[in-house]
Amino acid sequence: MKIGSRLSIGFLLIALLASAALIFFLAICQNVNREFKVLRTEIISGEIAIAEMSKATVEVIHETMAYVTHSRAENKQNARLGLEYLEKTAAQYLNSATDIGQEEQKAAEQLMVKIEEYVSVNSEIIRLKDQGVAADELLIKGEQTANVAMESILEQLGKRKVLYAERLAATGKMIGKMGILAVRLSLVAIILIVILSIVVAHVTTKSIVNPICDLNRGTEIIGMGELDYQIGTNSNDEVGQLSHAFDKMATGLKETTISVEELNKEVAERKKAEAKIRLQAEEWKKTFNSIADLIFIIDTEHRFVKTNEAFCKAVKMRPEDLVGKKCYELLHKTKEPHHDCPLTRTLEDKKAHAQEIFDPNIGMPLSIRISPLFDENGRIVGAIHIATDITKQKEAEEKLKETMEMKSQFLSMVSHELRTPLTAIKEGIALVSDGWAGDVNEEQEELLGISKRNVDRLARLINDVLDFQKFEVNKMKSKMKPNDINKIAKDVHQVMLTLTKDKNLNLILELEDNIPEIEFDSDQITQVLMNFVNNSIKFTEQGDVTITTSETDDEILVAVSDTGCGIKKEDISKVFNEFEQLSRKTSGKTGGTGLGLAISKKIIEQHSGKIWVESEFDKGTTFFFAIPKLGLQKVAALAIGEENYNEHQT
Amino acid sequence: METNGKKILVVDDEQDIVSVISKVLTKCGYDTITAADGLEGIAKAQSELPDLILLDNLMPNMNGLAALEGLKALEETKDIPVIMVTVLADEDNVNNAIKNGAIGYVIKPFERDVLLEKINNILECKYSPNI
Repeated sequence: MKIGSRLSIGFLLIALLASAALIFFLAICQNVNREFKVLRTEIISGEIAIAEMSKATVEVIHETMAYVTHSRAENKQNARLGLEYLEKTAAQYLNSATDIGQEEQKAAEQLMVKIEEYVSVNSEIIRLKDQGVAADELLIKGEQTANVAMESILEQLGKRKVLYAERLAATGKMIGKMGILAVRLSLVAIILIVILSIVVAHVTTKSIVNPICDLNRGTEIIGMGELDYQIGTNSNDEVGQLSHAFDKMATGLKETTISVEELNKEVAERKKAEAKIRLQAEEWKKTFNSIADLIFIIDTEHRFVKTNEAFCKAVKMRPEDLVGKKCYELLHKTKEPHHDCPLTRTLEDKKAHAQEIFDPNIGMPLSIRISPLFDENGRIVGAIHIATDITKQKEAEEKLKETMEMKSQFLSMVSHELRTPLTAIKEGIALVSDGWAGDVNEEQEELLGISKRNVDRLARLINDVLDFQKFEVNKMKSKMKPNDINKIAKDVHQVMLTLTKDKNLNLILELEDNIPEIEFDSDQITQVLMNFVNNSIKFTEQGDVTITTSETDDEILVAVSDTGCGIKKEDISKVFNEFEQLSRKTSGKTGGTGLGLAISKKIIEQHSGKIWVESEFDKGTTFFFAIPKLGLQKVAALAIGEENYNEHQT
Repeated sequence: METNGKKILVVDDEQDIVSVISKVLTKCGYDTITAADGLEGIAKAQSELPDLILLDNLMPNMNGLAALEGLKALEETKDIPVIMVTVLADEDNVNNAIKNGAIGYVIKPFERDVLLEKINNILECKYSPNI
């Protein structure tokens, strides 16, 4: 119940109690007053009635007596009426007496008897008079009854007065008692009302104040942070609602506090994570900036996005000044991207590209690798450039080049210097041996033959060294023309036949028909095949040397197999090494330069082909080479396409 | 010794080479004159007007290619056929020599028959070694 209603009810209750007390008091007073009034009226009316009745009775009696005495006709009628009236009045009197009390009634009855006696006497007198009979005796009797009646009436009247006085006193006494009682009752009622009011007030205030106190205490407790505390008022009033609201608020506050705590926790965690990220970012930045390579990220518009310290240092600019600048404007000093810009290629084909450049602004040779950068949708957003200072590498390369050149110059010089005396020796020996300087005996011819063979060998060696050196400095060019491999094989077969015949070996040709012409340098491929066959003959003492040609989908394969001494497994890998002569260790054979197979390898490599050997020791060896059917340039283009490694100098 | 009346100038700084070549040519009936470098070669060519010149490349004072240019630049020597006889075997040198007017190129150490064939073809002589 609401406090308002409770208060209203409380006050109403008090008012009701007060009103009740007042009404009670007034009722008592009114009752007393009424009693008093009734009594007074009764007394007055009684007295009046008695007086009137007495007067009437007396008048009637007088009238009757007058009639009786004077017997006047007009009196006779009046006497009759008087008697009737007397009877009526007596009856009335009796009635009123009945109301008053027993004693009164007795008196009234006696009076009635007297009056009836009087009426009957007088009625008798009247009757007798009507008959003309004298009734003196009756008259006397009438007079006597009249007196008796009057005496009785008067007696009654006196008695009544006393009675009334007594009753009045009794009534007054009773009223006084009643008044006192009323006052006492009123006092009791007032006290009761006061007590009840206090109780009502107490209950009311308690029902209001207690929850408020609870609420107050609760709010203090909640205020101190005990958010678990519940005031828990059951009442349904405003305070109850307030305390519910407070509980709700506390719960809400707690939830809020919890969520705030969670939020704080989350915030703390987030802060931690952020710190970690910052740290990582810092570390990453440090790492990024510690990299000695020049790193810069360029967007699709060729603008700098991010640069590391090494790059900034190299271009002598601050990173913030670099951001947004077009890379070609800074690096190439041009208004357009370089025509051969690998970045443009990367942005177009989304693949990594590499390039070596020398940037005059940076002042060092750089090897730049450009990798595309994608966003989460796989769209290209730019490219990361990692440029490595290759000064040292370039220096080393330069040095190597110089060394190679020195080596090649040395070889060239030595070879040329060797050739001149060799020419003189060779020609001198030849002239003598051929008999241009006179007759030569058999022994001399034999010795001259030895000299001649060794001079030729020396000449071959020098030629091989020169050839090899040409490959080393990339001076040997292949003249690519469509050629028939079978024709080459047949030519070599023809040339080498004499050598195999000398050693009693079979030189066999196994050629696949209809091999199409492909592009290669016929001289060089002939040289390779000659080397193979030469080699086989050299290491084969009996059996066959077989030249085989065949084709696959994309290659032409040539093999030279023999039934010779074979190559030990551990030596197979060394076969194509320059100046490697296995023969010396394995078979004691001499006669090669140790460069034939190395040169063969160079030639086949120049044709983008493959060269290899399969051998079983003591069983035989097969040398293979395969050259692609595609032209050299196409193969080279394909090979370059894989990596796009261009060298260009800016 | 009989000669075929053709005169060949051998220009080489190596005396031994000159001797060997001279011996071969003489045996084959050619008159031989010699010079030790490019300058001397040009001078000899001007004074002797040989039918053919065998010219080495690597020589002091003036190398063979320079001498070839000189010979081809001079009115009196420009029509004398020149065969380069040299140790330099690479294409650049061969091409250079041919471009500058050499009629033949023989790499040392040479095969005697090859050299003689070239000479005989040029001079339209049948070589007959006089042994």
